[in-house]
Amino acid sequence: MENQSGKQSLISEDTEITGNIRCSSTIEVKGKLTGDLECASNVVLGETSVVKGNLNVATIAVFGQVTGNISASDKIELKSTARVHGDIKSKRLTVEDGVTFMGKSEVSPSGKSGSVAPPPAAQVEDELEDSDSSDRGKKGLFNK
Amino acid sequence: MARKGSGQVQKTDMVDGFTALRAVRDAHAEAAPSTVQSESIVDAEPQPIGTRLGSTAMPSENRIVCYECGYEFRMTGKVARLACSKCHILLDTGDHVVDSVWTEDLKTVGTIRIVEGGAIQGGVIIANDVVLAGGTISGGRVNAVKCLVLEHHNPFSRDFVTARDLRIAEGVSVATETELTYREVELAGRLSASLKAVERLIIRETGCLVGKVQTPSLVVEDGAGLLAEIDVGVVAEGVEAKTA
Repeated sequence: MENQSGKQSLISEDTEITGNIRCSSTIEVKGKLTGDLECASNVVLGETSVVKGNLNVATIAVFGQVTGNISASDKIELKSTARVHGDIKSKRLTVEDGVTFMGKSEVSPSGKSGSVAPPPAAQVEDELEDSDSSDRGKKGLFNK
Repeated sequence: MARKGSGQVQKTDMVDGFTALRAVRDAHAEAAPSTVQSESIVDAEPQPIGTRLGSTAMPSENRIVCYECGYEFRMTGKVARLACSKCHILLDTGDHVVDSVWTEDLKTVGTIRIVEGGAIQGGVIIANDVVLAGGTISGGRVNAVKCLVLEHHNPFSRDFVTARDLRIAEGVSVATETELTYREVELAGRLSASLKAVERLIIRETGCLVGKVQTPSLVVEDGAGLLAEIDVGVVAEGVEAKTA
């Protein structure tokens, strides 16, 4: 795993780091990290990785365990072996079957980040108002 | 049938019992595979249903639920007439399109498509798949044994509709404040809701989910939107595969 400049970092399985990491090149974590990770490039968390801290990266592929928030400027990939407890935020997201994930997700490919985008339910509700005179404006598509 | 006589083979119109038995015996003897063939068959990996064996395609297997007794059985291929294996009632296997006001019972193991101008206002509607494609459901009781497909933003009351699975087509937006519970949900459109998918939630690249989701299995394709509180991988206890 190398980036364009050929630089890469590897934290092997038998390595345990307590502290924050900041890097500009690609990094692969197979060991334990207790602390935040900030990377301007790609990050791969291997199956044996255990990370407790927040991750601020460009792209990340998660195969291991993460307890903390993940923020990616481009893409987050949660592989089938991934276990994530925390919030994620990114432009793009892929999730494979088998993932364990508890937290909030804020993924909007259209670039509308922040709070939950207002659903186009207004349009639906308008249709409801036309079709059902009772409880106007209170019911959704399912008339609840 | 042929009979040997004075060195010649003569055709006869009569088939006696002995000739029939002999023909069956000869057919079994010819069809008996050799030892080598048997081993090759045993060693061969089992082919999944639907794959091609040589030049022959295996017919698909369909799950049929009798709309009279509720008995579930499987059928391979398609048949013109189908009877329930348990209650032996002849089942309707056809697909139907509702394009006008409908107040009568309509039961099939096929698909019912409610299109523009169609309005279910009464009766019992049962089908494997119910497709809401421009029509409305404002009465009666609609039960999609397999899947409810939403292809249009048309309103309907969940008091009238039950389904096992839910599929929202691309370009369709659905919003509700109540909690939805289905066995499997596939989103190619947009859903704003609190959702429990008992078995699986699939968000296609054109799909988007806003709200809350609880499911043991989540699949998100690249390009999909997900703005939600998520609880994935923990099987919700007490959640049954039915619509609320």
